[in-house]
Amino acid sequence: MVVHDATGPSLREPANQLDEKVIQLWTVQSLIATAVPAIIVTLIAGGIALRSGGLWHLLWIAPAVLILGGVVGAILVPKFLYRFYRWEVTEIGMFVRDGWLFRTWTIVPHARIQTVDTSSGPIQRSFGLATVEVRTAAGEGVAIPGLSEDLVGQLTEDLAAKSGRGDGS
Amino acid sequence: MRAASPLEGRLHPLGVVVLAWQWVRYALYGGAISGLASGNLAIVLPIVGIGVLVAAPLAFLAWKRFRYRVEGDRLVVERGVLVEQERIVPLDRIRGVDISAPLLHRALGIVQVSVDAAATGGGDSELTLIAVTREQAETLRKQVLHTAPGQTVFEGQPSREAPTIARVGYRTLALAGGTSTRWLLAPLVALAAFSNLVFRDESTIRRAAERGTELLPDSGLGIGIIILLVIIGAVGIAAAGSVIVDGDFRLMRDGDRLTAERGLLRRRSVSIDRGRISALEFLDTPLWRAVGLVNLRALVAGVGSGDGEARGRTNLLPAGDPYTVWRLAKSIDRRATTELTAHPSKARPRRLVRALVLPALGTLVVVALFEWLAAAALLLATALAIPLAFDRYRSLGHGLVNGRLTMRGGSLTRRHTIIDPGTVASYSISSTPFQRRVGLCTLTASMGRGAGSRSALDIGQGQAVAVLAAAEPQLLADFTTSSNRVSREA
Repeated sequence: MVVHDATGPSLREPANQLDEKVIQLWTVQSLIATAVPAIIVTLIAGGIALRSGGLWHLLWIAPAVLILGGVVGAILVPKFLYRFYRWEVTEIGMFVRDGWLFRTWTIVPHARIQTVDTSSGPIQRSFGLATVEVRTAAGEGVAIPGLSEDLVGQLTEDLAAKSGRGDGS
Repeated sequence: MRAASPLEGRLHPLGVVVLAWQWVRYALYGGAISGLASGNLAIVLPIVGIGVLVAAPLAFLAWKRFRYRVEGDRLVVERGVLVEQERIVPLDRIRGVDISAPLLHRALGIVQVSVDAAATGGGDSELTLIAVTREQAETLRKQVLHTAPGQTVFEGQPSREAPTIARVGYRTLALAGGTSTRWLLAPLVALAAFSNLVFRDESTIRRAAERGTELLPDSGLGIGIIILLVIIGAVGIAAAGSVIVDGDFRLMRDGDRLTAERGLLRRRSVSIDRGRISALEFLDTPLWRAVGLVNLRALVAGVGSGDGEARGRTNLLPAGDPYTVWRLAKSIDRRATTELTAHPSKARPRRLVRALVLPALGTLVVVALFEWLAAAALLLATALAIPLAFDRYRSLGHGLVNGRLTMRGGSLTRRHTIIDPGTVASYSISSTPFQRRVGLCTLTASMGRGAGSRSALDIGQGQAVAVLAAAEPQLLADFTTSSNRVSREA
């Protein structure tokens, strides 16, 4: 999990994990995301199967696979994402690592931060979570998606205070 | 620093109307379309009515939730209907405050304020106070723009005649144009236009074309001659195009301001502040390498939404021999260096696989379809991909010398970029499972808006971290572990 090779120094892991509740949040979100296509496919496949009968009943496989895959994915994938997502704010910058197969370490020095955004949707709020996103002049934002609400206030305060430092061009 | 006078506000109550209109508008369009489609215009009214019923409470909520304040040295905006959002923008990051009054605003006597925070990405990146009074807008602008930096990209004539530090002769331009692939499109366009004229039955042209065809020998030699003539014509047009567009190119320096002037018929001029240059970039193609030419550009973090060249890449020299271009680069950025470290040899097979997979698969498919001619062409493409892959590996390189981060990559278009780490907004290291298997990754440095980002492909993982650590020395201590490795999580 640590980037290294025999010769060079290696990037360490950011210190913090997301709030554990984010697993449930992502599960709920991906279940909702699955539900819409699942209902549509079920209606179409079911409609054809019931009307035409016979071999057409095989069409039921499509929604079954979709629902099964969606549910299994919604349960398993968030756990993976949670395990591989780590973040940290140090004196120098924000440090985020995410991704499971395709991994990315991102470093944003505080001096380059342009805006600090906090947002929370209705589902997120019901879990007491919020997202903090930092944007730079390059446009690439770094988002920390699942933070407990009490941590968020402190973190944005911290980031905003630090972002004022240094030359920001 | 300025006095931290508190400035708080919310949208003008009429903002509800503006916000609601944004949504009702769509109901109106929908209603109008269904009204016209059904031939029953009465249907417009209930649809718009429903639109108003839905939009009004949403607009009210959006208005109620929207608050902005200048707090010390930052602007804080709270908003959101379903998703609650708070945005904090440090005042010294704000590039501009734009006050405008679209039609509806004018009718209501209010204005709209857009804050350009130079942060881009996504549609919601724009910060707009959709409805405020003009006084509110002016107060905010005054307060916010206190620290906003000045304009950095100028267009138009330089203030006075500045000393020229580089020019490009016509011969170089003609050679550059003739060997550039960019211009090969021009003869194709001309051909298309010509055939269009012929087929539109313009009798004079048609007759001329017919007579032309009669003159041509109907043999292999004749076809060869035609192809040769077309190629010569294309190269000639390309060379002429380059001369016309970039003719009499001069780069002038006036203190810290660089001005590039070019164009034979229409003279164009772009000025940039030297301090705004995020990176210098050398660009060449295999043909240019063969004839000894290279193009020098500056990647400039643009401000606002200027168009074209002023926004990002600015040509510092359309073409020149590597030695001259290199000296020019050095005179613009004294710390520029061309020193490069090669990437691990494990990147070579990856280039080969990347280059060969597609043409090889294509060949297999075509062979399976018994399309022998296509198969031969694809086989040729596959064969050509091999030296290309080797060249792509050979061109890979990176370095951190003199406090400049350099990256090189590409073959058909090879870019050698010399980046000032002080202008990099964020770094990222990413790796695919295939890269991890052989200890490689991709290091990306994103510069300011307009300047874009550059990546070092298939750099060694240790190399990437070492470069990063050298570019931002404090990061080494902060984010890396060279001796004691962090243990894997459970």
